[in-house]
Amino acid sequence: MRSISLAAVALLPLAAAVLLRPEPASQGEAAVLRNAPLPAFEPIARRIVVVVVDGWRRSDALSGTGMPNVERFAAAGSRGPMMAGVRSFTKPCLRTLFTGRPGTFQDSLRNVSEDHVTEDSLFTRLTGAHRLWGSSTYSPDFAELFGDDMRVGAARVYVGKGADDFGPYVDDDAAEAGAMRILDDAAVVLAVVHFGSVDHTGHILKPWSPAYREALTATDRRLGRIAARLDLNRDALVVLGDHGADDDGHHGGPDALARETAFLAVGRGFAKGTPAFAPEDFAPTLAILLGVCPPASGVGAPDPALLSLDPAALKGRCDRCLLARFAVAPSDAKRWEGTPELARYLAAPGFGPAEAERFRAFGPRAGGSEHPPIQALLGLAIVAAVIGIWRIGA
Amino acid sequence: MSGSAAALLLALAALPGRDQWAGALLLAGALALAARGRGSGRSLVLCVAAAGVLTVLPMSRTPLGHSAGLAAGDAALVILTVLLAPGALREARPRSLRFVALLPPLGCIGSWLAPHMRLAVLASATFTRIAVLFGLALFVFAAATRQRRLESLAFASLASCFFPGWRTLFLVLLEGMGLLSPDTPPVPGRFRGAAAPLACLTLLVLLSGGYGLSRIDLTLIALGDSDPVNPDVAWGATAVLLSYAVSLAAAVRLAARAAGGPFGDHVAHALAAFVLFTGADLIWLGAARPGILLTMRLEEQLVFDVAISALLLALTAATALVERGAPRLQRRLTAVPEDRSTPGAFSS
Repeated sequence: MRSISLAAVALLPLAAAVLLRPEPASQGEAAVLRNAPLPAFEPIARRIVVVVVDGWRRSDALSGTGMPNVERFAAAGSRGPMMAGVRSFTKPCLRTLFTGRPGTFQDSLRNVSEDHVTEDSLFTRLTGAHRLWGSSTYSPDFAELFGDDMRVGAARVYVGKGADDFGPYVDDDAAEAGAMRILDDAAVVLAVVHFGSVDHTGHILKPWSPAYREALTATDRRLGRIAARLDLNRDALVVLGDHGADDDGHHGGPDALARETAFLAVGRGFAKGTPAFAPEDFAPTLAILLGVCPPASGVGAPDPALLSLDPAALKGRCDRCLLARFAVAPSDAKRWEGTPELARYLAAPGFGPAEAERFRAFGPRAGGSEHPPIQALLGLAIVAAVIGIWRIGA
Repeated sequence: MSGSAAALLLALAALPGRDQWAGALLLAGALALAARGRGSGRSLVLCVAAAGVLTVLPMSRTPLGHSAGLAAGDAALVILTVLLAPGALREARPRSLRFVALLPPLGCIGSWLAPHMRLAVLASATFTRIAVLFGLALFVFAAATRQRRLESLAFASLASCFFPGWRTLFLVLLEGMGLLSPDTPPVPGRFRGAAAPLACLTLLVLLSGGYGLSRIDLTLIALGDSDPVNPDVAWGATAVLLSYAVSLAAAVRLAARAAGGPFGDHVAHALAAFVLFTGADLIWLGAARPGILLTMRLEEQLVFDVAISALLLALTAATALVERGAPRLQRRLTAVPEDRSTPGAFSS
């Protein structure tokens, strides 16, 4: 009898898990912002190649051991640490990088199944400005995530077909070949390349294995070949990890090692130095260099420490984007209208760290709590029921 | 459930993070058991505890530690197979069971030796699937018909597919402890109700890395399937759930052996505890408004507690069914007179 009562109570949390799934608080607002007409500007970099090295551990990225090309680019540009979001699976991290929004609980749960971004992203902004972009990735994750943008605006999309045996693990050869074909098109302003062998080798053979070092070296060679297609006086190259990995090669949660990764930025528009960088700021920073506005749903800002731009010119672009976003998001405009924060921001002559911080604050709310208070009541009911069944059983 | 056990579980439920406590509980429990045991029993308990601690030590994540762990786990399974196989084959009922009784350990050995070629028919992953499927079927059948050697052999083989290395060594030693342990339960009666939940928490930390999606050390990759372009999501999800079911089965069997009493009671206690934990998670998330890091840990914990409650719910139903049908099945297989059959189908 007690088991039957417990079974009945056990169904409550299962029902709760189904019925009270946390939803992003700003889902409706994101749909409005996605279609917002935002201004476009003259691009600063002719073309940018973004190489995402899946699972690039910070220690590997910053030491550069076995990655001579990374060392060469780091000496010429910026390289620094980056802390991925607390949900350190690939999908939430990619979402953060290209939308400027933190990943959600559902991103983690759906890491291996179909999912797509509904907010606006860097790609939405490029498509809105009629600028071509392409992606070449080792797995379909990227195409699934940004499927809405790809259907509308991508110039080229390549997805690796997998390898025939256990040796290469993932099809980085195909990802590199796709990148080269994208770079053949002179009109493409942004190419995103996603390599997976480092992450996969780490998962399977562990980060301390010789095969992992080989995967790092092979990825470095690929970087060298891709960079050879760029003129870094007019183009730019960004290499970054989406997340890190722990000593077992795994990731997904808030553990420091799983989140610790790094970035490298070199070429037109990027400063030299070793600043720390936030993944939420990645899309806004790239947007400025590509002559479009940061994604309107994002909570990041262009990072002035990473950009070698005139602060006043940077501020001019950011102001126009901010005012255009306020025009399509009246609730945000109302929230900040007449506040000292907005007045101080507008009065500033340039865009420095303080202005970047305010720009982030002016963005949409990060979503607040995804868990309604009714969950607490349900939890109380469950605890009371279990204690009651115990007492009856005793 | 006694007041001591209930108070312990309520205290655990009130904690927002239960990972680290499980590790501490392992050590405390092992030392308490060792202090109560004598001679070889105490040595065996300490060996089990040492193997358990090895699974979480950083040294197990070095090249040498990893290789040593694999060798130790494989050797332990081979030794267990050699020791148990003659008896298991001799006692196998029905007799036709002898033809498949050794398939799980042989499947494991095949998976170590076969090439990791995804397209090859006799690939490592194929052997792993054979070991998993036959291991699961034989484990349930042997547990229901109380064929203890066969049950241990099937369970150790099944578990080694999901938890290779040091964790296989730990589980094999645990099986050995179960087979050799005296009939007197070492856990005091007032803690009987808490034995299964605490064992579940401890084994979840040791075997699956504990709460946290990031620490699931079981992916398709671990089972020998690695196709990032077309991942077999259904098999992956089944494998993850099976891995937790294996952890829970190991925990409840350990509890039944350490605290005595019917298997079904321990499953019910574990179910009660994890439903309680789920309720506490919901209270924390809905009312406490914790920071983002704690929120995420709580979300992961909630997912785990709900999944484990669901698995324990299924285990409760399965135990009830087996306990009803097992005596009849056992009588048919072994011709034991009706008045000698006892309740509690699973061996304890």
